[in-house]
Amino acid sequence: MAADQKYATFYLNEICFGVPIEKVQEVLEFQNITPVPLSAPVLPGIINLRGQILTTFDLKTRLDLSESESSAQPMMIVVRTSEGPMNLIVDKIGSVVDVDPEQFEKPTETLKAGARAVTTHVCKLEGMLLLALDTERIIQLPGVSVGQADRSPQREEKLPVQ
Amino acid sequence: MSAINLVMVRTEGRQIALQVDAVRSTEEIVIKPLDKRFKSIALYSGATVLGDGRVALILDIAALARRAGMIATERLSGGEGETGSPKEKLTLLLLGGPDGERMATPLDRVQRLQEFDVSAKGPLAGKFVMQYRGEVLPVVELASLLDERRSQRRSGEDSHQGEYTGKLSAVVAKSEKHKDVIMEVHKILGIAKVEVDNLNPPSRPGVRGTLVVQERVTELLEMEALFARMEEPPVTEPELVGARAESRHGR
Repeated sequence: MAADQKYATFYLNEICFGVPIEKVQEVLEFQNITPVPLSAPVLPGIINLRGQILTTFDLKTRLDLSESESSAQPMMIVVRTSEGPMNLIVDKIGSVVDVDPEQFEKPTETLKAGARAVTTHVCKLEGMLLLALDTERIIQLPGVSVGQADRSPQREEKLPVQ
Repeated sequence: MSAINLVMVRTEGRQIALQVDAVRSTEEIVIKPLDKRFKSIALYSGATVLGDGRVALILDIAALARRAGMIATERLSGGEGETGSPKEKLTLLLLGGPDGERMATPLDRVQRLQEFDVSAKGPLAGKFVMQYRGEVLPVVELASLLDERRSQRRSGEDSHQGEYTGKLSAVVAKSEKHKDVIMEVHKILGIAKVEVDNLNPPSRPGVRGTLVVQERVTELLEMEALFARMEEPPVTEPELVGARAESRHGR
């Protein structure tokens, strides 16, 4: 039996998401983003993290979720990726949870295409669902015309009924 | 009426004014590359962290000017990182060499075409100079900047006599990094607008590549490289330079 996996969780529109804890470099208070004019909405700009310039992803836009419902100050999660650290904007930070890999289920079709494309699996935790995200897939933006690519009419992937 | 702030910049031989809200300061910076995800915007050459921790984007002025339609051509000076540009529209000044070979320079590198009197050209410190609009500009023969393919003919005592009776054709060329130069050419043929699809590989140093203009194979000159060659000591072809200098003095 496989060992439990640790996920750092966070929330977007009250939905719980997680990334493997080893992918998380650090969590930041929201800080000023230097906008990059003419960039896609998913990339609102860049930040300075101790002299390093990090590309910032608006994760909600990336996942096709609607604009913020949360009034609180957003947070930032810096994740380690194959292209170096990347900064993700989230609504709020959750906790670190242990997930038994046997609890993993495939992403459901009810997820929006944008979210489904970067979700590796879904875990049922006590009283809530955790959507586990793949950081590498998050930073791979579909095509140049970001924001439209995910609205392709259908993504034909028949998933077995759970 | 309120004043506006303009930042004057020079790119690809053209002066451009940027209207800005305020000027902060000038700083020496280290340009850090921007994420490739911003590449498609093609307006920034990078970013930097300022002393106060803020991040500043570095504008690619040439790209900005192109986007604004202020310069029509693509980057000319062999800029790095822009190899992917599919088609360039260039206005070229066509030049003819003594053997009928054809060369061309982007017209925006040219300030003026002029015939000078040979007597206007005078030696100074081993080079030749000429007065132009109150300035003393170096005069250089275009052929001497290019690797000679006809050296045997050059060393012979000389077709110069015929060529240089009275007038010489010259191109006053603008440089981005170096001093402007009066470039002595054999013949000025005219101007052509061309779409540069694919340059064939350069035939020799100082040439950016070859292309076909008006059904003739034409060498597209790399002006900045030629300017740079002027400034470097002529170690590459010492005999040639020596021989030419002598023949001049003998005249």
